[in-house]
Amino acid sequence: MEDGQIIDLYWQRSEEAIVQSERKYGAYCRAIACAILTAREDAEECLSDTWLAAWRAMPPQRPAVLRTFLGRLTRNLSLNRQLYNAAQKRGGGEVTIALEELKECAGSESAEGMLEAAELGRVIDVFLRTLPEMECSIFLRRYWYLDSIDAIAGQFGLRAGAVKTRLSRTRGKLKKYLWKEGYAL
Amino acid sequence: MKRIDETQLLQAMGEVGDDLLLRAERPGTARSRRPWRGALAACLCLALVLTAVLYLPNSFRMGSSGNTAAEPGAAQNESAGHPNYEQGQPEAGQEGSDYETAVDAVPEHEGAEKGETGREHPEHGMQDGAACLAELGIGDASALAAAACGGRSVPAADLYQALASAAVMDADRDGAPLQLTEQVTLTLASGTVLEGRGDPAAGVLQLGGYHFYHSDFSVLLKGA
Repeated sequence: MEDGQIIDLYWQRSEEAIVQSERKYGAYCRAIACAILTAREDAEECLSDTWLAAWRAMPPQRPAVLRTFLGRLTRNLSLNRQLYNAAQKRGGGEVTIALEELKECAGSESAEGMLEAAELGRVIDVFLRTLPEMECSIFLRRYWYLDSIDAIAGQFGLRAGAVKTRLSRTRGKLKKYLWKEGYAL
Repeated sequence: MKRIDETQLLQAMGEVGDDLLLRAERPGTARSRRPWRGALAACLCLALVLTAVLYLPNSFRMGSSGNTAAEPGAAQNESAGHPNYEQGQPEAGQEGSDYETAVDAVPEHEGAEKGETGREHPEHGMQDGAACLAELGIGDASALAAAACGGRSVPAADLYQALASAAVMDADRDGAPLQLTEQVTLTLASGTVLEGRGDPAAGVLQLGGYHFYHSDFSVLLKGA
């Protein structure tokens, strides 16, 4: 079924929309959740929450790309669950490692005042578009999809060390870029 | 100046554009960043082909003085559009042809696949000369009782020496343009008569489906 038809089903408040979403993008969203969450049950819960969140978001939203829309929902839900788990000292996984790695380009202290995540996201989006395609994709595989270093190495036909080096360079560039954009590190 | 922590950074990463996310799902395109591997493979293949094309044809001619003599004739032959090489190998079914006579004298060769005999070198259609001679019934010098070229007697021992040390090509696979003008008759000690044709200029003797290349043939097979 085409994405437009699935979105129409959401707008028509048809439960068939969730069935079709799960059929078409269930594996994709499950992969995102499983990369972030160490516990299988947590991933399945986040997947169920994804369909519920999509049900609540459409209408009024009509996403241009349903795939990334659902993936984004899954990622946000899974990240929140993982951060909660980490806070509760229950689990770690790739999120904890990724956060450790990102410490070098973000201050360890809490932000003063509320920061618009959307604005910071826009800044990062602009930065990523300045990168060569491969560097950008590797960075997103690591910090959006939360893929492991070994998995990324396999996907791109590189050695793990080469992936680490590229990520390190990109983090350095991001650090400088954020500084120029007014984000204290 | 706003201060951010790594958690906010990771969460903000979720706001990047759909197109970047979709592109990151196609790592196959990123693999093309290592084109040197393909280029290296292509260069190696090219080197192998050039080696085969430039080196091997020379090795067939053994690099002798007869080679240089053969080339002008070959060029002349090709320009005339009637390669004598083809004339020297009459088509199957032509009764009484020299080619068939020579083959008939060696019945064990009939119908045999050249590549299945074990004589052939694994590359280029080169043959093991000693095995070819044995197949023709000329296992040693004593097996060759007499030889003649165009009615002129040829020293059998000298001819055998040339045959034994010749480079041998399967006639069917040898694309060299030859002028096999000289009639050669070999009489074996067993009484068998082998007939072949020679190209003195190229230093080639065609015998029993093989081309024997040796510079001595330039002298031995020269017409009276």
